[in-house]
Amino acid sequence: MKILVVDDSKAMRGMIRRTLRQAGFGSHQVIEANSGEEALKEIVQQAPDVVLCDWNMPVMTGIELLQRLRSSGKQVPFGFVTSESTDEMKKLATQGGASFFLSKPFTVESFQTALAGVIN
Amino acid sequence: MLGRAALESLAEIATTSLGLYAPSVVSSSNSVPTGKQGALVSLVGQGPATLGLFGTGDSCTALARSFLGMAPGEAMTREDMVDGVSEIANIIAGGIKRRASLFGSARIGLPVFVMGDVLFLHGVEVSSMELRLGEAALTLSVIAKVVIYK
Repeated sequence: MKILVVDDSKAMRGMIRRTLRQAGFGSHQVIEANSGEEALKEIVQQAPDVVLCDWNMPVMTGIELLQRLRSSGKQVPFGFVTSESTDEMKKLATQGGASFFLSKPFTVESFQTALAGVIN
Repeated sequence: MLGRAALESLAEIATTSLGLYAPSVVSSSNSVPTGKQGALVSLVGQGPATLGLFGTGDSCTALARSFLGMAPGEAMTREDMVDGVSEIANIIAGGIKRRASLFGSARIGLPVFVMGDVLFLHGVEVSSMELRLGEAALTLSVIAKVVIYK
């Protein structure tokens, strides 16, 4: 499987990669995007099987990226990995079609639980 | 209250993401540190506030190295250090939002990394804690607008 990690922080992208390995998903291919715009290109070109995305990014937020994807008919499984996690945000994410919502700081176990139903 | 929320949030990061014990508080003050560097993140809400996480260059590097899980001797660029410390400050701000009801609906700004002295105009209250976290000596500051109750 191919996993797309979208975060404007290189440090956080690296940490998500590491946690994916520790959570037992190390055999999957991980690709990265540092913005919503770059993610849109990667999704078209690389066709990832799942997208893990930050919420708060400059120019295009994570929820805006999800809305763009769904309005263009792209149904790739999509989850948020974010430092902000209010009930309102979770509701927006669910309504937008997100599969899961992970709060930072996350643990290996929280990754396993969130991704269990999405990554084979 | 905000200072405690920030400290609890940093402790959560230390134990879940940095592989460290919770930070120990060395001292407290009502001023921002001088001559250091670090990340500032704004919480825009009912009572606007700014969170600051500061340290010397060595302390910021030690903190970022823990965050990135770098091996001893592995080279770190300044860009990685800035990114790592900024991301930690961002997660602390998210933790404040979860813990402090006043900021439940706040919006979190993007982190800004600063060097040298941070200057504020009048009308703000500063609450700072000098901390020890692993190899790093850090200052965790919450800068809030003074609210005058009539």
